[in-house]
Amino acid sequence: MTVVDDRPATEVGSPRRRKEDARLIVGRTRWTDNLTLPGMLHLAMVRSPYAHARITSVDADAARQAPNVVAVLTGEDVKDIQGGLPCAWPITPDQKAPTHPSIAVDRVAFAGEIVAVVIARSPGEARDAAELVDVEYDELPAALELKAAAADQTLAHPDLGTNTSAVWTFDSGAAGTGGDVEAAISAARDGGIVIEREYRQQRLIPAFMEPRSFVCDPTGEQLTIWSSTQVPHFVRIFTAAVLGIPESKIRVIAPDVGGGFGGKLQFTPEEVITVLAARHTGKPCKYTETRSESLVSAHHGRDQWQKLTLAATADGHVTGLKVELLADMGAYLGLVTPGVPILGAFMFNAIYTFPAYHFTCRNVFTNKTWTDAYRGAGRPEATYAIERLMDELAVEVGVDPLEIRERNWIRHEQFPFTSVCGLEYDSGNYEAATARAKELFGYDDLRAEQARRRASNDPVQLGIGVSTFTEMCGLAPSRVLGSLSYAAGGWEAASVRMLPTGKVEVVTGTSPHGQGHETAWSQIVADRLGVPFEDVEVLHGDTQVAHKGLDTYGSRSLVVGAEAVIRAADKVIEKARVVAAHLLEASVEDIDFANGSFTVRGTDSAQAMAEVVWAAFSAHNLPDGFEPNLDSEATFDPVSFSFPHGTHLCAMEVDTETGQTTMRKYVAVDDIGTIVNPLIVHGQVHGGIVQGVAQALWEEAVYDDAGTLVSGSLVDYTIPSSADTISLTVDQTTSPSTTNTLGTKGVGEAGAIASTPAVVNAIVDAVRHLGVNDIRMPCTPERVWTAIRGASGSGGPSTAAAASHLGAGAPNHDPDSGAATQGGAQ
Amino acid sequence: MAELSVTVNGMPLPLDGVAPSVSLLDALRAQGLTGAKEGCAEGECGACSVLVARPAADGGSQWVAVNACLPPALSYAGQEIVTAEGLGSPGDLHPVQAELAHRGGSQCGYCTPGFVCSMAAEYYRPDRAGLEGTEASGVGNDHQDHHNHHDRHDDGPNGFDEHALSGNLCRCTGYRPIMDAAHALGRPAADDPFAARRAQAAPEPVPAHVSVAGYEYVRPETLAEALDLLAAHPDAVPVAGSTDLGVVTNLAMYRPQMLVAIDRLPELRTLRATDERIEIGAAVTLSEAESWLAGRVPLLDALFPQFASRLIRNAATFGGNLGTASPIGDGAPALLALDATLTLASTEGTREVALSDYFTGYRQTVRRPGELIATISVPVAQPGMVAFHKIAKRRYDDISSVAVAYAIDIEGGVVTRARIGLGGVAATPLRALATEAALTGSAWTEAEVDRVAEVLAGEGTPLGDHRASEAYRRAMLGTSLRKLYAEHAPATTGAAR
Repeated sequence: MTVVDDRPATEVGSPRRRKEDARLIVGRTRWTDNLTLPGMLHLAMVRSPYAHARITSVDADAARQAPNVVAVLTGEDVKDIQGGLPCAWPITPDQKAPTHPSIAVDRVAFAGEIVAVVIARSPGEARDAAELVDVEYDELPAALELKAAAADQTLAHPDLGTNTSAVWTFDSGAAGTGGDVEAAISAARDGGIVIEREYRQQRLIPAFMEPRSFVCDPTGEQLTIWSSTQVPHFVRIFTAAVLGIPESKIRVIAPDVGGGFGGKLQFTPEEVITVLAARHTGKPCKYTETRSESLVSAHHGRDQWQKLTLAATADGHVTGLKVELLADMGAYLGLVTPGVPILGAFMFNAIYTFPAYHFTCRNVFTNKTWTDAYRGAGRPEATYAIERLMDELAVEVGVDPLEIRERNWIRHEQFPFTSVCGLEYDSGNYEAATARAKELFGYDDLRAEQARRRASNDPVQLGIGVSTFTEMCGLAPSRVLGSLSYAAGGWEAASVRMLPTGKVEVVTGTSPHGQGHETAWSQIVADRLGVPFEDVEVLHGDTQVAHKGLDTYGSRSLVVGAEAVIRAADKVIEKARVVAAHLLEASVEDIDFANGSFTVRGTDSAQAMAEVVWAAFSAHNLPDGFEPNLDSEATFDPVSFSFPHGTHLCAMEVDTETGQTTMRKYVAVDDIGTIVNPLIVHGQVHGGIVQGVAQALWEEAVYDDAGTLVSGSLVDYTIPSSADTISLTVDQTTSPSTTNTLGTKGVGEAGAIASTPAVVNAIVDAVRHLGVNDIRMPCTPERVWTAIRGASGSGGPSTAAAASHLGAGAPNHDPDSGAATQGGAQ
Repeated sequence: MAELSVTVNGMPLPLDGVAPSVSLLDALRAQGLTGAKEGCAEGECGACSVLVARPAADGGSQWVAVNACLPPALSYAGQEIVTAEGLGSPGDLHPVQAELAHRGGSQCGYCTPGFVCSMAAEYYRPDRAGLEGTEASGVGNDHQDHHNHHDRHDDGPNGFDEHALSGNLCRCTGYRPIMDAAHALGRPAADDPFAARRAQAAPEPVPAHVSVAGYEYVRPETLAEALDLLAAHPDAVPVAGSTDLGVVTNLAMYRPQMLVAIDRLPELRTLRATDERIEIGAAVTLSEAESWLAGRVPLLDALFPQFASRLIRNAATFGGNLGTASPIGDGAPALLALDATLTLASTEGTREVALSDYFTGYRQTVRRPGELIATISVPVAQPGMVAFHKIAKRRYDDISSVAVAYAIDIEGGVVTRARIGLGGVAATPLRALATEAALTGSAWTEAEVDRVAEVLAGEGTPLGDHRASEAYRRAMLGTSLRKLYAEHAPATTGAAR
């Protein structure tokens, strides 16, 4: 063993610079769209401009005649071989769902649905020819507005006879995990407090920076698929299931993947079509979507109406919570679409000791892009609702919003705590996180400033928003998933391979796309095996290398995936211990392992791991019957979810004359258990918070009355830029998890879950004295201004006569507000 | 040598046979330079950013970051490009790249090479104010005083102007680590090759006349030549920064038969101040104009940071902004308030048109076929009180719901002259004539301003759309004037802004 002096005592906890960075920052790495294979053909999709229409004819003759077009495939061409896209989470036995073709055959159900694919020798020629495909449609009435759709005013899929896909209920009284919520509400109506609110979770778009790209190479024994996906293992299984190809004949590779946020947790029509095209032509085929295609056809997120009834005693002790949701599925059920609201079902009670709880969700089809997981998936919706309600309760009781939370939260000595949903929270300390956040925030000073501004009637008012969140992540115990009718398990697999030269290969079934697994897993394994950080190579995202895995989403990779890595590494140590004992001529029971060295207890006899590895490789001198192999595999199925929590405090300035809001200060103190890499954790928290802030302030997928996505470009779907964000204060308190070896908790979604209600609470707090108690998200200047003016308590939709992004005569369009061609196209 | 090529990371990249519709980005990626990427194809995300050597005022060159997805590759023939791959390598990171890695500035990494190029341009900006204690070597210190108007910008402790990143989007980091990296940048080392490169002149684009599959791209040498082409080819499209043309080329498959590059015509690149007027050539980029003006037209100085993004401003021109005549462009309201005059040139000669007479309808102007905007000029005498109010959802790089530009003179507490330009409230940019009349001769008092604000709220015919309702746009017009008053109440009136 080489001794390196400047190493941290342990790698875990050290802010290692990421192994991934050099290649990414310099731009010399492998994204799917970078791949070029000999004879490669390129695809362009023909998409429906209508939200709901019958396809009466598809004339592709002109496109087929276009230069360098190899083939055009229509729904009619592939209807017998394309199968139907899967939904892995039928939440009820009677769940209704339309078949989901990759290429629409006789009807389209959302604007953007694929009706044909052009296969040509270059992307440009494919796109030009796609313009020549003449599709005739008979437009059908479209179900667009969620409440109207829930009332079956117009059917998104007439054959289903209803827009309701499923109704899912949890009731603590029925489940035996708590009391009867109706009784609690009745009791509260007599002398207590009942708060009834309806909140809107607007439709969002994950808007990962890398548009999706797929390559399929059909030449060779195995079909090789490169996909910018979070879930290569799912893609392999579903390619097999949907197209009837033996799984063993499919290899899926997720190379560098440019963000996902749940948006690439999907098995997509585009993947199926790329495979169909490659098999049809016998040549490698590539499809890379444009940004506008990405925004309209990659799945969307959120989109709920939340009807909430909170019952409490007069002094603000919550006695019951009733949640009634409408959730917009969009036109189809994707991989986990119906389950997204269910992931929130157990989180409306959050960090609180509510005695009674009822949740019901109606999943509804509309003729819009289908929804599915987006960072937090169900839990941001739940957290938003309860954290908004707790602020309202504080107002009713007349106490500080932190005080009302303290009256209701689980005290740290109550852990482990079984929630009203029957989940066991293993650890947490809400008091500590809140105290630290208040201190960092300067809470009392900001409250004093707020009072001064109110007293002086300052046009710019100050508001303070609180969000004391928890979430359930680390998806997931397989048995629990089974009880929720999810098709797959939630375990994760890993293997650790000891190379003869002392290097270590770690194979993980997780599939990172920005989370830095290569770095964090290296740190963990370096500590575990006592090898240098640099000597660990982390392999992932290729089903031929990492043949077993359930990929990356739901803040699962560290708490589930890395636990599998640890267990595989421990198995290596146990095997090596046998070899070491043999080499040291001692009994296995007397061998200790620490810092990469095996020692005989009570002696100074030692064998370094590298020596043991070489001995196992050379196999010249091994115990009788010992298989010359230290490599080990482990599969870990978590026994529980992970419950990170935190206290987020946000100060917002609101210009009451324009409605413009400015973030003044943001403090996040999260308890995510043991931290492996603070640099990576800070990045996840920062990025997550900003995504949650973006939901509160800027982002919304807006459709016009015809069902066209108006916010179909980055000009109109306004994700934040650097100038929109402030320097956030991020800190941690630590209550190690008791359900995994390192005591880690998930962190990938925490920021996005926590921040949205903190921001909206702050804005409402700033103008509450003006009579405002809610503003619908995103809290655009106009909505804030409108709420202050009292024209509408909730802002209301600001969609009217929206023109398409590039429509001729669109009077308010100008892509960059600063065009520089003279004359240009117009 | 007849072949066309662009120098990329020190090596010539041939452009022969490249069609006019092929973007610089596609040409780079086709050569395996895949660090720059197509994130949106319309200049919003900056994932395509690269560096180009452009002429500097001192006769040397400067590194300027531009969107590669928008301009035709052919427009860069003869020029010199550096990409993220050319700045550093995995084993030898450029200082900007090293800081990004050190601060956690990259997560998924997709957007990062674009950020690298935008940051590198700022890193090498000669007039970036330095901090004592950094590795400042004195390079560029002599420029500091001249450009101290940059202090008004959101400068970091090391003089890093945060606007440099206004055209780059990242979805992972929340930007804080990127900003930390930006603020940690020192000065280029003495032997930094890219810093040294600035001492030499930037190569000029080479004249060209290319025809590929019936589509022509022409870069004439003189204005006369360009005007002859436009006269002979009525369908020819003049192109400068291509920040609009690139969008319709990429997203609407727009394929004009002939493109005429006018961005380097010397006659359109004048920057001149006489006793009477300040003249800006139509093909001067907004960044060049900003730098040259150095704050001497305060209203434009207020405009620039709110105008699109730095990446766009590095390519976009006033000529293009006025040429497309968008009703929501941010340039026209400010120039209207400044009483700007355009010089229009054609083979028939030149004529002067007041900007207030220029717009005739939605994207319609008095500019005739074959006519080019040659220069934009404003009076040297500057109004006493100016402001540019932009109401939009995001702080920067967003489309205005309403834009209001003010140029007001007050003497003895009475408004003696008012010019107000509006954007986003009608089919054309317009002057708020009724408001100007109501304001002129009025006392600059809260009561009078309240009265006139109602007049301003009635200007134009704003439409409601998904960005803002008619009611909000109108209300913001009136609010804007009250805000102006609040910022310039009598106690401070007359003070230079």
